[in-house]
Amino acid sequence: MLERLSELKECESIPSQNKDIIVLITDTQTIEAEKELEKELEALEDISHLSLVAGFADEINKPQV
Amino acid sequence: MSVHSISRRSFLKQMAALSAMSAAATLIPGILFAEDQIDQYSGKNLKWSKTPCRFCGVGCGLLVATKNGKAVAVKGDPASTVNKGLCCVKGYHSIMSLYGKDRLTKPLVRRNGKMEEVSMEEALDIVAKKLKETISENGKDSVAMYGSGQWTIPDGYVASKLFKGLIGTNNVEANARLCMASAVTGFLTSFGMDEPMGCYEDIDHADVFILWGNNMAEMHPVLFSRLLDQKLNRNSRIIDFATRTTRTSMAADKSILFKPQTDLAVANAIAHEIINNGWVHESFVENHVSFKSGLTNMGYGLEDGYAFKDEEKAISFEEYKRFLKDYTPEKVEQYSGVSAKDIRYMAALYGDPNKKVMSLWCMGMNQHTRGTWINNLVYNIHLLVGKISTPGNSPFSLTGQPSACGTVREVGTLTHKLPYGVVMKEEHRAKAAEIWEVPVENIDPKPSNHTVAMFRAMDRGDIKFMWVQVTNPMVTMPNLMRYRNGLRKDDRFLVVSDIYPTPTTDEADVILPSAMWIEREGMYGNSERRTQHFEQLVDPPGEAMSDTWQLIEVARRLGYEKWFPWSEESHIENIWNEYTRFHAGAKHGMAPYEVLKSQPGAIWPYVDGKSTSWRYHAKYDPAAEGDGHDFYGKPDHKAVIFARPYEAPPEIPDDEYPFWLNTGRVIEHWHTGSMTRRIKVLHQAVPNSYVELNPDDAKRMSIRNGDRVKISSRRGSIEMPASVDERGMPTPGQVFVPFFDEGYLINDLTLDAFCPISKQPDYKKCAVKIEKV
Repeated sequence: MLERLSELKECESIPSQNKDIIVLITDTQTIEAEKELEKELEALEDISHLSLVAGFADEINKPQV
Repeated sequence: MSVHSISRRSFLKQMAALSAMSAAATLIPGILFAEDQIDQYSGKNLKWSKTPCRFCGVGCGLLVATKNGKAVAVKGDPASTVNKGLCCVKGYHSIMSLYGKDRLTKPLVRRNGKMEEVSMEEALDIVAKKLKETISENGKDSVAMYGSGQWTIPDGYVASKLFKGLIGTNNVEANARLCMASAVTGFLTSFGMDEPMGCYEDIDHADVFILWGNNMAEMHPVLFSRLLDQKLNRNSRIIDFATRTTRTSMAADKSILFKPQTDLAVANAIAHEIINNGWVHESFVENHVSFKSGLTNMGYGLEDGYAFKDEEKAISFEEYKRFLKDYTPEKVEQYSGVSAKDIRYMAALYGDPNKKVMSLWCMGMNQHTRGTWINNLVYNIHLLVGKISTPGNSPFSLTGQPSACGTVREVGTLTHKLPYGVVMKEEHRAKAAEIWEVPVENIDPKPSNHTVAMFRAMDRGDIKFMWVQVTNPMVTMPNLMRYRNGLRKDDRFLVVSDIYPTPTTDEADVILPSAMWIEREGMYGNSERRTQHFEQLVDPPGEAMSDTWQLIEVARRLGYEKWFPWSEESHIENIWNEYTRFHAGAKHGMAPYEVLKSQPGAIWPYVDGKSTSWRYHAKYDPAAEGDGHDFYGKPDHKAVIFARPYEAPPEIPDDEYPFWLNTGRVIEHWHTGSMTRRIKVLHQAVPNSYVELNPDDAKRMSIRNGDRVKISSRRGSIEMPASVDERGMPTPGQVFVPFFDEGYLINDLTLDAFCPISKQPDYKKCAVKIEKV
């Protein structure tokens, strides 16, 4: 699994030391690339958990109203 | 690519990696990652702090990262048993609502028709002076406080103490009257005590989830994900019983649609079937249940001065059975639109002794002109089969706001309530007077105005001064036009504390900029009786000040410094310690301040260092007597099964106005959108409101998706885009409009009819017509 993941572009794998778990971080530049990567990931079996974090760094939000 | 964006991408990757590792650690205890990996992603220059989410009543635990005095990242708190590390789309973007470009940072005062900036000192002086003058000229009941289920617990407590204990008026209300009042009166009439007996852990035990008019997939998404998890892993079943097909219906095992208001009849039909099939838990009913009826044909509160007091009367089980004879599945099928087969299907789920059943509901049952009744009727079903107060057997009323329970229901910021008990009872007034150190005569024994009555009084001129905090009634009040015009009358004075300009601040004479959520310290109380504390993590902008401290400053200017002696540094702890004296004891004890600071919340009653997950059962609840169920909220220790009939709503579609109007929310926006519409990604997802039509109705009227349509009721009309075959699908003859968009004030059309017992308006049913523009 690790080998197959390492072949994917725009992906970074963090394997656990003592369990069969891999944390996978994706970083795509475009929506199209994201969709393509999603397809490739869906083709892999045994991916069971996706987690999302929202980080906003220094971006200033703009009013939408 | 700029340096800034590289930095941001890198930052986001770090956060994602950290969160994923945290989630893995929650799911698989003992899992290890290499230290160099953890170091690489640890975000060492960030400070992560726990807080409950700012938005809905689920009360998800968040971890918010701050850097250089600013909130910069959010993740679900893996230590929170509520959400177990997950968030919904609003939660993930919650901190962005702090940083809208048009945050209110300076107080504004209306002079010669224009708003002028003044200092906070001057603004607070003006508020106190006007409050004092109005009381002096027109009496104490000419002033009012209108707060919110988004008030922190200290906000509501200080407001109640100031207005009820010192000024001496019961004109204290909160917007939770619009969302949770029927749940409160349902609990009080059936059990004698407010709030659910169970907790979210029920989800992990239930075999069946029956959702009563509750689009959980959008309104309580994280909890709904827990239901889906049980469906996937334990084959639990989800039944969506609703008036509209939604994302919840799509995810459910079965969707059953009913005609508006007929949930009353269907609930009685389910009870009828349970009895008819011999599924009653006989010993439970004999030992733990009494039967009652109440007044009927109560009216709908449409007239100013309307008053109603129910008269409960004891009846026998046999009389209850006779009452149910009008509710055979075949009879109810004729007007509910629910087949007798589906009614029997739901009855069989409740009646199966081998299935644990959770009923869940929120606005569908509460915003109902017979809201108290439908709450009673669902409790009836659980009581008949004894499925209550044990893990997985749980009638569960969900809340919509982060502290509707904590602040409005527990602190008691409603006209008839005190932090413990009600103003009508001498012993409750005496307790409040003792803790507040005020003469008991200060506390008026008569409730004054519930929310609709309060705005009517403002329109008539009986109330001349109103202070609104953390809510936006000029978007949310039903029959809105009347109340907007009322506020605009010459001698009315409106103070509004908020964080952004809204249609309510547009009407204000004084606007006070508020500190929001983690810009101050506070506590919220969620749907499962869990109180959660949050620290001040960042500074508020400009002169913005917490609502608690605004109230204290005004109280001091009125001469009440003695009752509000606390320092800015420790006032939240001091307030908590004073407030929790009201609830001391095994039935409602609250966790100590230090405990709340140290963990993601605690569930009351908090007894001997432990949360109480299930009330009214001796196995789980230290206050319960005996070795089984004990409904100690009632003098006879018995819960009540009520004979409550079906009654039609006040306004039903006719030839002139042939459609039902149902209003509600969407997942992306919080209430009136004043915060979430300033979050770019959420605003772009749903930039405006719309009127959702059934595709057959749309086809018949040649209305296509996106067409402009005029929607009119007897009270007003608006034009807005049509939505056909998109997110949700109303039944034929019904339309649905989300209320988050101040550009389309749908409440100009709604009716201010309310449940006579709870005084909660019905936003789900009035008659409208639709015309293609």
